[in-house]
Amino acid sequence: MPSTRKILQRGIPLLAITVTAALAFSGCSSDSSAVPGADPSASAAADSLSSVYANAAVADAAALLPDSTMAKIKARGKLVVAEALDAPLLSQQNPSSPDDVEGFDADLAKLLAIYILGEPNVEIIPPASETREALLQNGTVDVVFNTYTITTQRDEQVDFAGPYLQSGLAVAVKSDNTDIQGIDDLGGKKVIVGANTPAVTAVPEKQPTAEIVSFGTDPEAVQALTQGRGDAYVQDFTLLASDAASNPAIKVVGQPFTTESYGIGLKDGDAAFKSFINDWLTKIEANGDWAKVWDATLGSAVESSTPTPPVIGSVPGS
Amino acid sequence: MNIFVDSAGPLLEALGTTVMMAVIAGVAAIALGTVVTAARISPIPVLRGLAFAYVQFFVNVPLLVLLILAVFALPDAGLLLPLTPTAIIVLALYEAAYVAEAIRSGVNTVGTGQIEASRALGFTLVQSLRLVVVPQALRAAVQPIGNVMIALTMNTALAAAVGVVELTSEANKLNLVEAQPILIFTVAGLIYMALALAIGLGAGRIEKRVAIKR
Repeated sequence: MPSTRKILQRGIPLLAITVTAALAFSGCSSDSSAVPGADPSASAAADSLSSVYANAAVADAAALLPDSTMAKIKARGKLVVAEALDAPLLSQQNPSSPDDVEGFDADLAKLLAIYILGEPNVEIIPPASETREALLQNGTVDVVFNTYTITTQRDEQVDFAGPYLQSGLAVAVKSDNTDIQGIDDLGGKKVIVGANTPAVTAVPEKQPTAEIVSFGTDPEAVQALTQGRGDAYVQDFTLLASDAASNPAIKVVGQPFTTESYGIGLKDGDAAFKSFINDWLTKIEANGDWAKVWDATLGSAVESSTPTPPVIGSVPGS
Repeated sequence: MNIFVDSAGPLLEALGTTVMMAVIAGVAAIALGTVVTAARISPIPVLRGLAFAYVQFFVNVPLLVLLILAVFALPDAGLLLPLTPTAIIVLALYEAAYVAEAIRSGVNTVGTGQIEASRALGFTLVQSLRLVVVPQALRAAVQPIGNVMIALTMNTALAAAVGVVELTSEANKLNLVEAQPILIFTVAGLIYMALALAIGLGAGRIEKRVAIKR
């Protein structure tokens, strides 16, 4: 039947294209190489922050020392930031308006851009977590806002301003699981973690017998947990709280068992830029902008009240 | 270089996983690819159509898409396999399509006169494929198949995206602590290069030994 074969020959590539396209739209958002800067007035979540943007602090001209990194950014007219596009509440592309990236990290990056440039002109380079140090060292990005935990090993390669946020890792399980009440019950269990998150090293430290399975993105890890590929999922507790709020199949158990101090990654040895950014952090923490951004992003997922920002320079490596 | 000495154990274990995946998936891909080619050149239209569809599907869908589908979509259909076997099966199915194309190019080196002669001698279809066509086609396709095997070995790195702890995934983990991506991924790259070189040289030697002197 030659006609059947012809239809088959035409149909198969078409099917392949359809499957590929569907997948590309559903799962692989982090693969895009770069997106243009975001317009903060475009989205609903940003609406509550529009007054923050309108009244955001702008640095005195005198603070932009001649020949400094901040003066170069000002001359260039945009701030180049390494931040994720797929981290809910922290830095995520808005599905209905992909040019807009929202979340705690993303909004702080826009505020920093306003502080230097007077306008929220941010160019986003999505970092694979494994390339953050290289992106800073070779000057591809000015700053990293990427839940970048401050550690002494990393401090040898890059500089950290901040910490600007403190958080901790917690445990999530399937809703019908009653055996696991927290990190202490994970010995010998299969534990899902996000690849390149602090959990990759923190879980074996607490539970050496646990078997670690890592997945690239948070949605994949949640999917893996609900499909039974692991007994528990260890991740930042704010992120888990938002996952559990939107997905009744999983729940968060116990209290956070680590303290992660997130810093703003900068090129190593740029003391002037570091103290400039620390000054900016002090300003937005004092004038309440920090708390407003937290309330509009991370605060929307947890019931606790707005936390106090961590003391700048309070952890080794910052 | 201390960071590599300190984590030599997990790194070697991860390298073992990479080699194991490449070997199992490679052998399976060659076997399956041969069968697909045989179907592709057979005179039975249904088999030819199926083989054609198979090759077109796997050549046109990216491997990462297939891996993510197999790991996250199959469990929803009630089929939950452990991660490493899933990745090996997907790799074998995917690379078999490329192996089939390589062998098909080898088939074209077998003269039509030989096939006519085997028919004249009363060989059945399976006999003439098994005794005359495929052995010669495989010998002519050793180097192309070697290239597919190199690609397969490199492609095992994609399994890191679906939770398999192989070389790339272990390098990621090491970098998370040590924060020296350029050093760590250069070393990982050199290891992959050594694997590719070994496969390439091996294929060259096999080709010399099995070549048909004409």
